[in-house]
Amino acid sequence: MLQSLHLQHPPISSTTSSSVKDSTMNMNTNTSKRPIHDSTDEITEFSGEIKRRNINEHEHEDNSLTVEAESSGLRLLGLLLQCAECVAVENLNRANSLLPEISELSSPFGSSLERVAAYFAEALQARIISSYLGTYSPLSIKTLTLAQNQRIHNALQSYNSITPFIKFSHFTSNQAIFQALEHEETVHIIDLDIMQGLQWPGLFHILASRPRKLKSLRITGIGSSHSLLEATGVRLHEFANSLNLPFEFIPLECKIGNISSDSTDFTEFLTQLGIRSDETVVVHWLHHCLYDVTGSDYNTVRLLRLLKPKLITVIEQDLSHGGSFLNRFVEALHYYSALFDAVGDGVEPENVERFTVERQLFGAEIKNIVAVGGPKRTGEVKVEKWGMELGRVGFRAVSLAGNPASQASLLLGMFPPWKGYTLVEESGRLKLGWKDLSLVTASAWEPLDLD
Amino acid sequence: MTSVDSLYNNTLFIFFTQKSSMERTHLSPYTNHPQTTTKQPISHTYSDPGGGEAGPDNDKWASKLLLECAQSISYKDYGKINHLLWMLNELSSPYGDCDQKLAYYFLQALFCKATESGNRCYKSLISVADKSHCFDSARKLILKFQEVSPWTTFGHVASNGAILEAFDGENKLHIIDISNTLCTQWPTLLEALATRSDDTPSLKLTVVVTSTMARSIMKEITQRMEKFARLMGVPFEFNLINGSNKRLWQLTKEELNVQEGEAIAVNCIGALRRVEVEDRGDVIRLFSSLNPRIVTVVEEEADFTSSRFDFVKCFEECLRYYTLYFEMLEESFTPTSNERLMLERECSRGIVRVLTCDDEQNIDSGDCERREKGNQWCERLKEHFSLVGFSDDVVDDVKALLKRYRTGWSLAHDRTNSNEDSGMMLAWKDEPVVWASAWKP
Repeated sequence: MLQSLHLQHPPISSTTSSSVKDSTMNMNTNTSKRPIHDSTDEITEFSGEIKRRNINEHEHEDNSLTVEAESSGLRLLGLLLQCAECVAVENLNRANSLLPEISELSSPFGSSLERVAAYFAEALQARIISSYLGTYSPLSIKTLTLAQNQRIHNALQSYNSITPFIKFSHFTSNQAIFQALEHEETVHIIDLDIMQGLQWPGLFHILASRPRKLKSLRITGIGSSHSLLEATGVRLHEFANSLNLPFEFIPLECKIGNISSDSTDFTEFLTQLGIRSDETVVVHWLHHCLYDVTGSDYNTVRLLRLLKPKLITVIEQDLSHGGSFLNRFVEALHYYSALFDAVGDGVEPENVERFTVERQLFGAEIKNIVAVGGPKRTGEVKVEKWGMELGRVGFRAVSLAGNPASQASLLLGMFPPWKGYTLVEESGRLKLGWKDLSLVTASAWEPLDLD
Repeated sequence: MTSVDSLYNNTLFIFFTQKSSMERTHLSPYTNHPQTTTKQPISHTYSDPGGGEAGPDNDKWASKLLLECAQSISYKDYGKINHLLWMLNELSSPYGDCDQKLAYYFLQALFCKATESGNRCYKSLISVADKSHCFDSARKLILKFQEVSPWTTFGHVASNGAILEAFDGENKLHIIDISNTLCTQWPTLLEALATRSDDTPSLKLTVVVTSTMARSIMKEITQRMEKFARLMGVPFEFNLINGSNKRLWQLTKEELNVQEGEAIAVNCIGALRRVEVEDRGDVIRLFSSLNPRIVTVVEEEADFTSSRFDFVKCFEECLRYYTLYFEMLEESFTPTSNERLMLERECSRGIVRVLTCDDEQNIDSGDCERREKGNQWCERLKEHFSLVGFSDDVVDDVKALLKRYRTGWSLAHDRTNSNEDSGMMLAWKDEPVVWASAWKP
């Protein structure tokens, strides 16, 4: 039923049969670590990018306003970078002295630059205080409360309606999973961070419409709150029942990297995940920086190698969390500037929905990125690019060109015309970005030796 | 157990063994970071604990943590200070709900206090605000605030009413306006003068600007006021005096342009609190020496003065007052209002000034900000003046004004002086917030 839909052209593409730009469009993936020599270089480069992306923003204002906005924008960028440099060398006094002006020039209810600066300023303030207190030892917090989870969920719903990122990740990975499960009848999906499980009804739908019916469909949902997992399970059950799918949900309150992976206990590990030996396993992971999902990156990689699932689908933010603080900061500033541009495009500065998304999601991520140790808040070695890492440890890429790509370009052509978003297919990966910056990469992996 | 309690308990052990870092006066991190005592590094990440829909779980967590931190600072319990600063740092946000905002702004002050960097911090806040404010933005801010809340218009209406009544029958009027309201009080008074049944009197308006920031933007006001007066057909003279580079009480009659035959009114809106505590008596004496027909005083109802040598007491009162103010702001403005944000940032300057700056250190920049309550001002003013009750007409005007705003506003009855009238008190959710009074020699 998918193949019969007519493909629509996304606004900026050339007309190939899949309507997806090929990789010669040269999309900036922001993966290279840029050595930070001089903040003036950074500012010039940065502001050039921002100018290019914001060509429309000041179109209607007269020239004097544009010039003024540009110069205060430059000043703001300069101050942010200076402040980050001070934090990087632990000159907290000086960093702290720059914050009042940064705060004064920024606002969560202003232009894209003013808004992104507001959250980076907040994050830097928090960072300075925690650096001063010297207490960035990692520690555990029991759970996000139900109320907190609810707020994130609500914000994600708004995020889903004002940007195509969530739908992009759902559509592309579900399509890839569907294809991998073509000849399979007993299926087990492991969702490393299931939250509300919003992805799965879409997959249920296409699986249920298959001529070859499923004998069993089980999902292990991993999360931090038992009550939230239960609620998700109930919802998924309802949906599966309405489609007559033989469905079972296994909630797992933990982090995937903390599951014991002593290789002699491999069967025990399978039991913990609830996997039966006859099942075809698919692992799925949608990345974010709202909280730590894996516990231990190292262990997670190890587990995936042992598990050898038929398919691993990963949606990653094009943002690396390794490296020095300053690198992390500059990359993140670049990244979120584009994201704030995207959600602010054509929307008035007082828009409450956009504010909610920026504050509950982006602001929280920014705070985690700028914090000591980055989003995981630990000093542990982090995997920078999961796609590449999987490629290193015995997996090979499964191309998403073809149907997943079609789904994605269809999405972009659909409702509210997602103008400004760009879709690129590169070596079988699909990248969704804003203007010329890639923000999210979807990839799929299968084990090299399929014994 | 609330999630905040649980966070507190889970992090207690980290701070338990810390030595004092507060003895350092420079901001610099520990050279030896505390060891992680957990074998498995497990991470904690920022997530938004408050957010408007926070249930009874997290109610009023900010004031509890803030007060505890203030107390720890006064006991010099360094382990606890660090722990609470850390908690507040994790949970606060300047863009969140009231608890998160209060936590954020008061955390700044506590941090300054603990690192003894209050004076430096305040100077920097003032200079930044000074640079970025301009006439248009300041005026827009005041007008927007007046549109959504009677916080400032209450005092204007009450004072104008009292002044007009005191000036009844007079022809040569001179108002000495010591305030930072950017003259938003005067258009209605000018209108009233223009529509007086007898001959229109002449009005001389001498504005003494005390706040550092208002100075830089007052020049534009002169033209506007003159134009408006012309429109109203009121003979008008306007003078602007910079009142902050010398002590206010040192101003002379000549400088204030006081002349024979004038009926004088002294209008003092939120100005007395900006005067250094020791100088307040002298300022009132100055007013008396001008022999005014009427003196109108409007001040916000809080006491940061009698507790100024007791950090915890002062902190408690600050917290009480600013909690009310922030809640009022949140209910009066839209959720994405830049004006509300600017008013909140203004509060942060006041909070840092009152709680962390050493008064004795003779801070030239900025203002004192030590508020006193109505009954305290009464004690001072009684030495030279006697209270004039507001007439029924004025009270009616004020009540009519309050009806134009959202519910929650009322006139409170001042219970401290049960026999005497002691001015009018604006209340928000039954809490007294702004006090207005009128005095004659």
